[in-house]
Amino acid sequence: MRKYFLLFCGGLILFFACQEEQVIEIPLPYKNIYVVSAELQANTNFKGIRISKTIPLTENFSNTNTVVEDAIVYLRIDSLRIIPLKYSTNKYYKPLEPFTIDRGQYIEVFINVENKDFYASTHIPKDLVVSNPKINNKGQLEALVLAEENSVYSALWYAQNTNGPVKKATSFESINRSSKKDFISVNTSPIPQDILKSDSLYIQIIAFDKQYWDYFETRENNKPIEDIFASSGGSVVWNVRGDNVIGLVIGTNYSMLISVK
Amino acid sequence: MKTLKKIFLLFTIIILPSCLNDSEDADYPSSIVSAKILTYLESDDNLLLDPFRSHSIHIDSLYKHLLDYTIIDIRSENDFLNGHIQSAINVQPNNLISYLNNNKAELKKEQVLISQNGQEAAYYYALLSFAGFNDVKYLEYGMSIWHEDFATEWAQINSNFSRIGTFRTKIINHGNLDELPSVDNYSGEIKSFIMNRVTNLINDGYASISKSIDYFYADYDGIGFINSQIICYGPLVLYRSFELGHPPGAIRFEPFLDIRSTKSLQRIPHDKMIGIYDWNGHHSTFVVAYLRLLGYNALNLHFGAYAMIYEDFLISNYKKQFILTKDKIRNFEYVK
Repeated sequence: MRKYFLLFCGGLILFFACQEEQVIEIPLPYKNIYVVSAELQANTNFKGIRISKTIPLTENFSNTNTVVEDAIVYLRIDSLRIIPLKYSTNKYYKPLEPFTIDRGQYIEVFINVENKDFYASTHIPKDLVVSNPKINNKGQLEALVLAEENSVYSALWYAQNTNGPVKKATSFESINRSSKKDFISVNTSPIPQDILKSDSLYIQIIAFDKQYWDYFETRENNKPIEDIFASSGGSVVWNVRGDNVIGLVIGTNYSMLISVK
Repeated sequence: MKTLKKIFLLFTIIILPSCLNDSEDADYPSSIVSAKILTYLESDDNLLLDPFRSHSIHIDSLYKHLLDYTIIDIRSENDFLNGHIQSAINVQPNNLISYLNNNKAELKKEQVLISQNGQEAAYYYALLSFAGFNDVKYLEYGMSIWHEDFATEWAQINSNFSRIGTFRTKIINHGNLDELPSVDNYSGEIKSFIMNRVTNLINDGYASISKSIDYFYADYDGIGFINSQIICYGPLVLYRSFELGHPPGAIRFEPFLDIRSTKSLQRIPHDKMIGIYDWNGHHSTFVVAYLRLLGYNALNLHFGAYAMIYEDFLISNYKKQFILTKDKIRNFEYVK
């Protein structure tokens, strides 16, 4: 009996020794997302459109493996004029020759990459009507802007001492809008005290297509949550449409620098 | 029974729709076929957009290096048998693509298309070029410059166009922007779609797109053309050299520039018959091929300006360089 028991145990050991070791690989979640970006600034030459794509975590990042070079891309202006864009060496899709973006135009972007269609459209804001530039009691520059329905507005400050370098705001404080054509107040971010004493201060108003509002309001939604009591705020609102694509194609119009001081 | 009915109703309302394939169209406009073709064509510096590209081969260079080229004679079999360049191969236009694809190993580095008077070969050259056959060239004036025995068509042009009195000297500005023509039956990859369109245009033949200016006068109402637009495809010097003027309403397109999307391409009316001429009917075929690919009803004015203002060419040494004069004909040997 003992002999059989030993044989059984030996067989059991041999059996498990021959078992193939199974290594369970957990695939890292990866979804190929395309990223489209373009700013179409009124009264300037069209700078181009950038199209890139995400890469798996396991792949080394380089400028070449994220840039999409083989997309079919064209613009349609005011539902009529087609301007094809071709990939140029500086990672932008550009037209055969420069052309100027005009205020008031309605521009659509059609993209076809690997048989997927992406689309975005934007209005180019009209030229700005600005009045009453001043420094407010919060140390911000402020001005009145004649708001259009299709646009939202923000402002940047610029400061310069005589013969010194120009310093400028690095971000927008807020985005302002109006539901009807009316003057609204637009302000910059607060100017640091030492810069506020500069010899010259200027305000520049920037008009964006109204779609920028949704992006601006949601732009921090996908940041890591640092406050343990906070909950996730949902996704960022982009204006490029299609499957597995994010991005922003936005018309803008910049005012001249308006002297405040 | 009532309960069963309710269950069935619930099933159809809730379950069935969720099982259906989600085949809703995207909530944005679909791509425009002619815009995709245009984007594909402009993505390369094609022959219409690149002013430095050489299209044709000079007769003397061809004769000197004859064996370095595959000579493809695209005339009819009868014409070919009546006389051809010794090393030439007779390929009918509708077999051109398959010939070039199936004989890659035997082809010389460059292939030269030869027709009776040059314009036909220039047209097929343009179509092949748009389809990606970049080693093909053509012989300007075709067999007519090789030997005078083949130059009868050029010789038959011997007077000004009879309705020259209707021509106008006033420079006409390009019209308003217009939409691109619509192109049907799009499927598959854009590259293969363009190849199919090129094949179809080749099969339609040069004769179907080559007309005399008389053809357009059927559409003339005494003031202008009703459903046609004439384009003079040439430099300002060509346009201005027409002292007798141009066909009514003719606009000028600067070679290599105005055909661009960023310039005047969409100033061409999409729903009119477009007649195009240059000096001698050769380069205008490039524009015709390009526009036809995009869906325009474009036609080549056979023999170009020469067929309209013959006498003007004869008295101008400058203009003579753009036509086939007797002194240019080489009278090289040919075989039957």
